[in-house]
Amino acid sequence: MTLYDKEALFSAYLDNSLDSEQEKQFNALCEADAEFAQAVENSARLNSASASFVAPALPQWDKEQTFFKKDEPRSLSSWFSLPACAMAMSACALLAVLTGAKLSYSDNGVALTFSNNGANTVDKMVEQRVTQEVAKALGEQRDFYQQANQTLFKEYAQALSAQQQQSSAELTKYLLASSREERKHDFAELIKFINEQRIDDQRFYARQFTRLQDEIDDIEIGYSAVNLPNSLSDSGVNGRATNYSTVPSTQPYTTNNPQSSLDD
Amino acid sequence: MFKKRDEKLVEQALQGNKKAWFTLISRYETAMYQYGIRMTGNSHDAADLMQEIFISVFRSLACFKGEGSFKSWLYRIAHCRCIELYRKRKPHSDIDDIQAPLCGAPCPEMQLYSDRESRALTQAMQTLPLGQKAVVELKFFGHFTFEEIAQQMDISVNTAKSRLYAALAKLKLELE
Repeated sequence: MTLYDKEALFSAYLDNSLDSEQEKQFNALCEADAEFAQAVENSARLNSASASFVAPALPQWDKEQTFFKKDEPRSLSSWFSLPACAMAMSACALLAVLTGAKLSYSDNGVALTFSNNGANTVDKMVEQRVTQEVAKALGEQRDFYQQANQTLFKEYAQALSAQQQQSSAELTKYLLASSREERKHDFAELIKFINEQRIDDQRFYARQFTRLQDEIDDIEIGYSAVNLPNSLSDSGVNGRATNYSTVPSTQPYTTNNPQSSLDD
Repeated sequence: MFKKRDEKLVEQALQGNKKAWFTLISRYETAMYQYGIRMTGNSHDAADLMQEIFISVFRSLACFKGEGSFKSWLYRIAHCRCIELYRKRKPHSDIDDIQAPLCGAPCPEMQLYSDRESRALTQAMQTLPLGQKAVVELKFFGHFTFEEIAQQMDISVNTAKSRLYAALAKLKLELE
């Protein structure tokens, strides 16, 4: 059995709350444990001693000291009735501050001096304080505006950048479209030029052929008139001439619509 | 003649009734004096302690709300004042474990006006630490339950039981 169990059993015994099981344990413990038995015996002796305890007679003592008027709570008016000494000291302190009293120690003794410019000192202090406060307020305002400006600049830079990107994209698109259009025009001009050149060439060749036909006709006329009879010329040379004459002299060189073919 | 209840006397004393207060004192002054003798071991300290207790009780009378018995509240204050007395006399000692009596010299009044067993009991109790002594006092002379003792001394019930068992085991030699 642990000490805790012993203490619990002993407490139950003192409270007269032992049940039958605990009573058996209690009796067994009293026989087995000398210390426990001694504690039980001591408790019984203390019980009897408490009933028959004899103490010296009560001395005469001053009961009046135990009865006293309790402090009543301070009324409101009592707070205003401050001691005159405290008020006087406060007034002196105020006066000393306002007049600039200064206590100085030296080898010759102690000197109490009053500054003439006490008011000036107060004014200087006030001015200094005001300056500090103004500087502090200005600093705060400056910081605030600085932060606000930085924010505005940042937003402006972002907007500008976005606008530039958009403009660049539009410009690129425009350049691509215009260059494509220009190329288209250029090719059309080129084709037109080539077609004109071809027409000129055809005209040139047609004139050449015409001139050649005329020369041949002239040669043929001259030759038949000088060297050949008309019959011969009709049967032989004229046959060739006829062949020559069958060639259309002024017929332009036809093409299958080159303009349209080139355009296509 | 009916006795007025403690709570009623307290109420009257709070209203400034001196007679009610003295009636209350007369009910408990002997118990407090004997408490002082057993706790301090001599009649002079017991008388001082008793006076301190009643002054303290009167000062704190408004704090008594009647939630427990007046006697229990009185013993709680008495225990606090007793600890205060020990602290004044032995400031560098652990209060619960301090064993030395407040006054080393024998008390002549106890020799003259007390019987042998009471003297032996008082002397034996002075060998106990203050914490154990208070538990023995409250249990056997105040007749409080362990719960009340624990509440008065601000300890647990198990601690109160443990202290009492340890005290009785220690008292065995002195009382024999």
